[in-house]
Amino acid sequence: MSLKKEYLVISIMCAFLSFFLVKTFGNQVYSYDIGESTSVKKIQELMNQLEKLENSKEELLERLQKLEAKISDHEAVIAENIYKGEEIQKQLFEARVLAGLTDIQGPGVEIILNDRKKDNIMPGEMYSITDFIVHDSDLLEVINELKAAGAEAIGINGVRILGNSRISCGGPTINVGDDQRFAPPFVIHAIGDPDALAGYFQRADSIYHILTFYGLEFSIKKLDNVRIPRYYGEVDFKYAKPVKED
Amino acid sequence: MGLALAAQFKNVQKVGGSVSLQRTQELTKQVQKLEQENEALETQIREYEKRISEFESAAQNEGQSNKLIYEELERIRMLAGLVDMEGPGVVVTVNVKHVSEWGEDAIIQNVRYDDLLKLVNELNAAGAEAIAVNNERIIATTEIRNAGDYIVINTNRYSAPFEIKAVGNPETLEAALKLLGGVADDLGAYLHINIRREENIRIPKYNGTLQYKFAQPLQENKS
Repeated sequence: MSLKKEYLVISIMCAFLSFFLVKTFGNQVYSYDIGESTSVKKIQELMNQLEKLENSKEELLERLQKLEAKISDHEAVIAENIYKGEEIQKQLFEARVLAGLTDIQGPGVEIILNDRKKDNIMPGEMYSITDFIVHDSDLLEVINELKAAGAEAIGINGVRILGNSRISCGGPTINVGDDQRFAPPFVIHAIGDPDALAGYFQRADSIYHILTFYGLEFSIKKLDNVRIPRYYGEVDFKYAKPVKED
Repeated sequence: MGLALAAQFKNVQKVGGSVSLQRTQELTKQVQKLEQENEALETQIREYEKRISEFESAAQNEGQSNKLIYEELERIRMLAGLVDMEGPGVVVTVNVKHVSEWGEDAIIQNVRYDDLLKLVNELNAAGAEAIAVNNERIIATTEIRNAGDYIVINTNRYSAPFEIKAVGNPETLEAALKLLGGVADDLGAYLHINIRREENIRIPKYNGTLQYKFAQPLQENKS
């Protein structure tokens, strides 16, 4: 009798074991299916696609620049024969700079903003980890201070800042402009008087002092020549219409 | 033992699966973003090509060419914020909150520059097409900064009350501000904030002077 009981226990255990084993292997096969096709093939496919798109973007940018040059040639020809033509060309350039529609260069600053490095946080420090990372509001303040210091054009990680650019939090990333997401470090370029731009962050009420107090990286470099690319997205007005003067 | 084994196997598989899934999603997003960017570039290229052919066909006609250049100037000025605009949107008034303290009238806190900065940023995130604060048009170079008791916008000084006008989808703009835990909620704790939709708002153009001392075109103009 006792032998039968043991058999029963063992067979029940075996049943359990095989049940779970089958279950996991079943799952495993399933996971491998996803794993193999998404993680290797799919990722490779996407990487290839990305590279292709990256290449065609470069080609498109080149074409755009050529066309832009052609247009300004045409405009120059017309301006020669027009009353106050030079003034109109100047206005065209200024409006294009303001609207972010042309690549520009000039003296300015490069600011690098980065989270505090983990290895220099002391164990006894009584701050929250959120004090050590770059927030969207910090970026907003830095850009605002650059504007106040007289920046003529600003770019964050190569994205031109326009009047309607937003800087907002997207979880671990920060959204800049239309829908460009970036993680730190943030490289900010501004064109303007390098001394005035860099000097503004020495003001007592500058965000510079707060961020460096918490140990974030905030470096400011004056440069003789900074390049800021044009805005690449589309700007169209769906709701706003120009006011017709009667 | 069976249970433990099973659990172990499952865990390992799950981690691997979700990491690759995350990576795939990330890459897919990047692909979509680039596709959109390239599409925008292609649209722009078509526009430029159209303009060039317009220039070419107008080359013999002086009046026609002049018209083209003026039209182009007007179009860019609109994008830059140098033209008065109108349309539907929201008007946000921001003022100090009065409280009675020991029987005397007091305010909780003055309006700070970063209150306005956050509101403008939020409106931009909600797709505002034109914004003005106390009739100062927000353009690419507009600062909103404190200077003593004042707030400086486009180098001009202002103090409360502030009126922010934004043209765009009125529902979206209002909803973005009124979001639970959103900007208006935050600021509402110590400021008086009123948001109202309007069918037609007029936003003035930037009135300051444009002067570029440092910015230069990247390509040499052959003129």
